[in-house]
Amino acid sequence: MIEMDRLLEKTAWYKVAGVLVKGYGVASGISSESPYPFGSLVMQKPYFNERGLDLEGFFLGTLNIDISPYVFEIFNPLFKFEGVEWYEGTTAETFSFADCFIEYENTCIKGYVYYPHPETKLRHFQSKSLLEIIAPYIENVRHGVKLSLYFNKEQIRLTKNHKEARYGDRP
Amino acid sequence: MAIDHNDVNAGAAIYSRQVLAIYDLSMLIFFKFVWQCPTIHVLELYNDNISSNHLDVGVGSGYYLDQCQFPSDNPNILLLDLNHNSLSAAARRISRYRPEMLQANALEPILLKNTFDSVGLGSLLHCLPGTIKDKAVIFENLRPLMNPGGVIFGCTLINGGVSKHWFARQAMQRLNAKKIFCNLQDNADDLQEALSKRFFDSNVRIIGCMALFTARTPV
Repeated sequence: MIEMDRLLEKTAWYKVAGVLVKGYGVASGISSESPYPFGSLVMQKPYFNERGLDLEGFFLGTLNIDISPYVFEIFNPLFKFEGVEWYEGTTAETFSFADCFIEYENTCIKGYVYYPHPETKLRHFQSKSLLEIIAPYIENVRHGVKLSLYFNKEQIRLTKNHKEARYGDRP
Repeated sequence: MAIDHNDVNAGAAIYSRQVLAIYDLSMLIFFKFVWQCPTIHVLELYNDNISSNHLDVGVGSGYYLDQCQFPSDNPNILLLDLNHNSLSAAARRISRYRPEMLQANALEPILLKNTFDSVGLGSLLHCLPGTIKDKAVIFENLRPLMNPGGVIFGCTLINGGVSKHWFARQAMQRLNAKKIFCNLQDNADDLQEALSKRFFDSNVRIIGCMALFTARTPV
């Protein structure tokens, strides 16, 4: 049995429950409607790598995890890459990343929260309670499964919000 | 998650359930007849260095953890690997010790609060990308997880500066071509330098194509 409280400094990490939901399949390229046949992350990876984030060994798709009723804000990202021109013909995007751990099937999995900034993203607006996470390939993980997530308090802020907002909303 | 189209997991993906089932047998044969380093030498390395508070990185099938002698009957063990099949297989194998599992990339900072008296890197370095100098980032990432006086030990196949028979040369070339290994540039001098820059009391011993190493953190 994994004892996350023993592995992680309790005061430094939020623990929150989440549910794995189906994403758009754009990051991984799984969706037939994805304009990027091998997924956007495959194309973005070298740009991230040259800016200091090495995703070697990670599955190049995202886990979409609903943490409602919480909403998140990355206020101090581990990495923030601005003006990434990763696809010809589209505007440059900004990406932020934050540390996270996932607890699933008695295993602790280290990943990153992946946050394409909505103000620079053209499509697929989604809930502020929906996190995209990049992690190593997880065997047998299925949509609808409940997961425990751990976020670094120095990077991410979680607030409870019953009125769901959308990424594109203006305050 | 769907099938990974990329080769990013190539080194880890070799450890599918089916492969793990025959992994031990092939390891015994390969170590003795191809790499000219019978597994007894690696097992001795484990027996000499393992503690009751142990982190094992790149766990394979868990063969050495299963076979080695821990100093106590109830050791605290954390298994760290990128590959879930490998973690599960090793954890099942040593379930009597109730190990914990962390699926993570040891080439990135590991961010755990607990620390260990021993860290094992059995047959991992030759699977990591880059040269020994590039791979040494793993030592940087593991050092904060070691208690004062803690030992880091392991083995890795090297290509430079060791004599290999024809079959070993062919096997190493093919495993590198398939990206299961990445060790054509690896040699004992670079390994010794990488360890001595970061630890005390480092030692590298060559048996066949295998470098067996130990090093310690300051007390």
